Amino acid sequence: MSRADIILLASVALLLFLLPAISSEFFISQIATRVLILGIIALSLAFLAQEIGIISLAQVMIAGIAGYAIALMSQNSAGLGVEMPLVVAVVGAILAAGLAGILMGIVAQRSTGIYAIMITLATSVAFTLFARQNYQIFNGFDGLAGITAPTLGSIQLSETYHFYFLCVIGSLAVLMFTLYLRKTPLGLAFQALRDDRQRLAALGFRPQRTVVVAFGLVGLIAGVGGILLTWFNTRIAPTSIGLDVTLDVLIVAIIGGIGHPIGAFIGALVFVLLETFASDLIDRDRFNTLIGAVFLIVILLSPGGLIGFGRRVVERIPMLQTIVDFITRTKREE
Amino acid sequence: MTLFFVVTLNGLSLAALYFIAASGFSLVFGVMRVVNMAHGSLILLGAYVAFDIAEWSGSWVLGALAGSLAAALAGVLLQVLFFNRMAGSKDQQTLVSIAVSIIAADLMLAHWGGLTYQLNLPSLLEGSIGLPLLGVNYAKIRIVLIVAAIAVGVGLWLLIAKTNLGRLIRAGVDDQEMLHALGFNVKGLFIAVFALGGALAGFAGVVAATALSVAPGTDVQFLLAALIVVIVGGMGSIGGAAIGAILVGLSEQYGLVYAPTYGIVFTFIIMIGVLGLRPQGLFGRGDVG
Repeated sequence: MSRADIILLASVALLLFLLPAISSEFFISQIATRVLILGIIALSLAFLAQEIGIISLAQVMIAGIAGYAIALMSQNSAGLGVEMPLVVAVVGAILAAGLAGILMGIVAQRSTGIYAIMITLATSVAFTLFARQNYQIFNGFDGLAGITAPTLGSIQLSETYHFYFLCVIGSLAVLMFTLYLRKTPLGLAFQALRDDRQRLAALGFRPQRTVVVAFGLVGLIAGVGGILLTWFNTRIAPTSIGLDVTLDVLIVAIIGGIGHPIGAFIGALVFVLLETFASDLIDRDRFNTLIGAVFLIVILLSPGGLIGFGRRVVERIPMLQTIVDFITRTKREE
Repeated sequence: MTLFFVVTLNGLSLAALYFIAASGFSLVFGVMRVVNMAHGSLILLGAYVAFDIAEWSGSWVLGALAGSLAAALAGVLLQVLFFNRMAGSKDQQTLVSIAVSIIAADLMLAHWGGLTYQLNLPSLLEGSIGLPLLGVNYAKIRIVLIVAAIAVGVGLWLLIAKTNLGRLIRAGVDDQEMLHALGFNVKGLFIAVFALGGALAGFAGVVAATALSVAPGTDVQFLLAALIVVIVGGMGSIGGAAIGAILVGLSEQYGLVYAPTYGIVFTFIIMIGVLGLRPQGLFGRGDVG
């Protein structure tokens, strides 16, 4: 991690841990917690897009697979699955998401650009339809309900503030994971893959295997988000992973900007704030028009999302740039 | 055995619908390398407008014309307002079309509500005809649907292979810049292609509303069908779209009858199988991505 990243991460952590002291319970449970969960799932999309240049619309499906996995390994209303010890269930669910990511990667390994978008979208919709029809494992349309966050010793994780802190820890963990990954040789291989697939192959790497590994790793991130989402809603059903949710996550990732992992969380913040307070701006039923319009405007005016926009603002104003340079003590690379 | 044949016919008539839906999508991609994720919205718009006009005028033909025309116009608007301005970035164009489809779905829901609409059949197409050999009665509209799809396919082929516009389109597929340098109006050509793709989408909507019914969500259903059809058949190839549609339509209907729960899985396995063997689709060209 670079110095700038450490400073950023530390200030985000400080802000998130202090947030309950200065905000209402409504804000914590209905906004902050949802922002973090949505941000984690969007990060898995944004990170893949940023590092290997592939937009995957399968990330919500993969998060959903972790959700179904944790539900099947916990007590649930449908009485399906086998109850497992907490550690086994959580690790198992994250690994299930990783495996789903690997499988998705194998299917999409030779595809890039719009082809990858179409293939991951088709896969995701097909999985949702399948889960809706299957009653032996997924309990069809109703899905699996009654899944509460567990109790650790005397700490009830389902309690609003405890669950919020759990989400904070989860978010910081995946942020650190992505920032660390970027600097490893594997992360560099990802970027080489994005920049020039053929040259990477000429250097002796196997680009397709690198794609599969990348899909597997971001699958783990989506898995963390999926478990938290399922605990938050206390249920997982085909509607939790439907096309509209997939598009929401895409919107979040693009609005935030895929230049830096923190963008996913900024996008999630904008999205949840709009969703919560849309009724003040526009007819509640027309939220999709509003968010679609915001999405459209961001793509048209600022392809780098809000992060790109922020960067350009900083660059335009010399004083801000000096302050940023001073804090991060980096010399500008031009 | 009779069941098998009837299911096969059902599969083929569904394939016919999918082909009409996918052909416009594939055409636009083939010429402009634009994946128009709002294609499903154009289909639904065509169906809604056709319903309104058919109700108002009492004529199915007028409704069908209006539906196709409305979708063509919407397609042209998409090209002029958005795609034209960002010719460079394919991912960006795709994202814009997704944004448009979200807004369009919501606005159409606001205007037409969540009801299911069905276009009344022209009296000529009502009822059923007895099939020779099998001794069963089969809905006329489904037979007509298959004929219509063949007509669309042959028409497109003639247009692309035999007319001047077709020559321009093919030249545009191969080398846009050269075509532009030779003094042809590439912008106008693109608008024409989008109008044609939109009209095909609108017509698919009309047909879907007549043979089946349409409601919010139909847009996604047909977008997904079009996606899988062209992934299997190969982007930009009309013949590929036909083969892809037949594969998907048949597998869906066989799945529905012989393994009701898992019909979607068959479709999906076909897609994965094709991708594994030929990432560019059965009839696609080599340049994936």
